[in-house]
Amino acid sequence: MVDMQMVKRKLAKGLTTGVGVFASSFVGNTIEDAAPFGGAGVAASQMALGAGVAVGSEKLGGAVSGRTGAQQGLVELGVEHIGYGIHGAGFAELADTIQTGAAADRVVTVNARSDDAQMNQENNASSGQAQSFSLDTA
Amino acid sequence: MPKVDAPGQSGLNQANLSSDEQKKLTRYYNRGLQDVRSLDTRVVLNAIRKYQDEVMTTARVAKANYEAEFDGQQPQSGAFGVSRIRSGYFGYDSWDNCPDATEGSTTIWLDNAVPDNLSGSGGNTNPLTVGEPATHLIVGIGSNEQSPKAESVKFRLNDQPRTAIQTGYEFRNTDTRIKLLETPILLREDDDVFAEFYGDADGAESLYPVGLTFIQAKDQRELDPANMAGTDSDNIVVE
Repeated sequence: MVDMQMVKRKLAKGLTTGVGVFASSFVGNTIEDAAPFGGAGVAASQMALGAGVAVGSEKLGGAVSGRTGAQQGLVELGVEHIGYGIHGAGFAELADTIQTGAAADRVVTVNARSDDAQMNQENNASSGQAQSFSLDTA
Repeated sequence: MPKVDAPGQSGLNQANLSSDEQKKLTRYYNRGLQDVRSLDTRVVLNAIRKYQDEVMTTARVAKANYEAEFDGQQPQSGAFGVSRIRSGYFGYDSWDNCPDATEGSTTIWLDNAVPDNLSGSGGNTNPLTVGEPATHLIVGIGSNEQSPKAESVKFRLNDQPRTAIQTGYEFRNTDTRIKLLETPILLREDDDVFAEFYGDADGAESLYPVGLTFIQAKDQRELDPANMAGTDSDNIVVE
């Protein structure tokens, strides 16, 4: 017998985590506009904010349920997982920033190399074989 | 034996280019030699890249000769640089001042009298001479005319005749009007150069050598071709 309550809880956790990930874009943009952080700084801020939301989910959940009349346990759970979402998205953005920086270097090198390789291929392709040395030294 | 099949056979003093100098040469290929057409911007560049081993040898010979650092297209003082071969480096104010072709006749193109800024006796016994500041690599012969009349070109280097190079097909059946050489020509200090062409029709001709000149920075700053020629060996071209 499937425990539907458990399934609903899991789905709710996933849904609220997803909401947190979505919210992280807004959070990140807001931080980026307001503070002179670089990409890594914004990501770190997102992680800190997400962790803060998750840790403070009990108080936040209580406040929200007090105003809306919703069941406090569910609200706390939702807020907690929204915090996880923001936190996780911050991690992802940090990794992305680091990898993008590294990738940027690689791209330049690879492009330069591929450019040369391409030209060599063009040279060789147009000649049908590797060029051999021949020089008239007068 | 002037024709060699390996850099080491040339018998010329050479100095290896450092990694930084090689990067500058590659940068010149990719920036300084980029064609300025809207399409096919690498046609001539790729043609010259086919001679990159010979270009490198020429750069090494120039470096050994000048005892200076190679510094690309716009060298700093004390270094040497590279450019396409300017008309002034061979005595002409403009390559367009090449004598007209006459049907069925040969016409002198390069000696010490025909070019605008040289006034020697001329003829194949009076060639022009490459000056100290320049080292040239000629990889082909081009024409600036829309309808070139030169059917073939022949060099005489250091009083030794070279093969007549057929140019008519490439001049009339390609859009670049450039005849590339299987064996490019390296010209350095004190080399004597005489060249003539055969015309198979009457009309204007504007031949030019396709290639590169490795030249000392001081001389690369010279703007006016009239100041590039003279009788002393420290001129870019010597009468």
